[in-house]
Amino acid sequence: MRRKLSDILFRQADAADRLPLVRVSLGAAVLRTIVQMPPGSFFAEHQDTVMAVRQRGDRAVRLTAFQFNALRLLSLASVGLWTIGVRHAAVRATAAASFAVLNGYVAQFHPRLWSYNSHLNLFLCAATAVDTTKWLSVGKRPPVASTKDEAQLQSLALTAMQLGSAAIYSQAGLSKILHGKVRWMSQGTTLKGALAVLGTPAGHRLSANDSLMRALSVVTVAGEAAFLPLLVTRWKDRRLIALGAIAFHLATKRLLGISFWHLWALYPALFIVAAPGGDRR
Amino acid sequence: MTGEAVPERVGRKPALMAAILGAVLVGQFFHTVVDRNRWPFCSNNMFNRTLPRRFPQLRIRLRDGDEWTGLRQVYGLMPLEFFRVVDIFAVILLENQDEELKDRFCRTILRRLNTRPWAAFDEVGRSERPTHPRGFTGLEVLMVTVDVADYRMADDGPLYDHQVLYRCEAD
Repeated sequence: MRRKLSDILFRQADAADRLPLVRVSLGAAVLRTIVQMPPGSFFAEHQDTVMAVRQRGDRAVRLTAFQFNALRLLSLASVGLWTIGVRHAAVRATAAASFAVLNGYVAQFHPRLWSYNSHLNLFLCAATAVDTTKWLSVGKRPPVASTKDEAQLQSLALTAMQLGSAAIYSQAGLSKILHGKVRWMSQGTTLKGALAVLGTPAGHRLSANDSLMRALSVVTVAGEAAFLPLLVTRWKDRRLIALGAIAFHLATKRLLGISFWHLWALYPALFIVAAPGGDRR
Repeated sequence: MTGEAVPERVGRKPALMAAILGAVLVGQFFHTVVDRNRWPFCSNNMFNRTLPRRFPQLRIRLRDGDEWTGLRQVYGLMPLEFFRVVDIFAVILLENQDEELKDRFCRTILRRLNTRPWAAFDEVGRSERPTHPRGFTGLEVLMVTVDVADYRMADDGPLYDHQVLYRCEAD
């Protein structure tokens, strides 16, 4: 098992070929997230309302509308350049840093609840830390000898995003077990209530079936909690596991109207699309 | 991966980075256990509470010119994900006791609805749109109770135990 984990972390043979795909899909997801953020004026006008009642001891920065919009532009430009394959260290650092400040600011607006998309920040940090321009990049690529360390770091960056994605499901399952307790599954009322009130018409119709709600609750928690260990132990089946995760999200979108697109949109590049040099072991 | 061959030794820098990855994952699960979000650490605690069959929900009414609308969801009042809008309203109108802040909050909401509408995206609801030339001139926020045994999505009812939390009139 230790050898297997070491191979997953440091020796994914297709990492250098897969990372350009990951860069483009991750960059696109980040750019879409930035574009869809509320305008700077919205955050500025609620500085003496929403931001004024945050928890005591909160000393978060407050940006003017101009500052927020300028930061947003900087983030768009740097992430955009990185996405198309500009590999300059300053571009990579600016992309990761500016999106961290920007997305962190949006989260801190009301820190008790936010969009649960900080994996984009963590993934961007991992992906910008290594060279992702073996192909799919603009300009002439200078010949770079891939050192052993660089190859291992590329593998590790890819693994960080793969295991980071899987951890989200296991956290969600564990959270329901720890805080919703057994009755979350045995009663099925959370799923029933969510589908009845928040769901699509199809989800609302399904919510009337109590037995189905209980069964789906058990399946959801089991599937979520087992995701990370399943991915590691059945690594050769990761493409299938990722397809299952996408199916889960599509069903959730169909029934509950919640997409979580900023996670599963990365799966074709992270797990599914065959990259040169890849193996299925 | 190299099959049966002896694998290359892991370099110091990759080993250090792997330790950081491990620490981040531990940090993520720690936040799940304590059920708290501290950006960028996320507990991923969505839908983790067991809902009873009857539970409270927020609803609003808007004064469109001079006429009050029927009950509506709160989602279309801020350009944020629906669950954040609900929680922000709960914090400002239920947990906060500053009446002046409540009034300022509601007036700010109305001003943006009247001047800078927004489209729906993903979990962000489309902004409520006034039909009267004067725009929205008032906002009433209510707490109601939903019973999943008889709740109908089509007409958002029946809703029980109406309780007005706040009412603001801009004129």
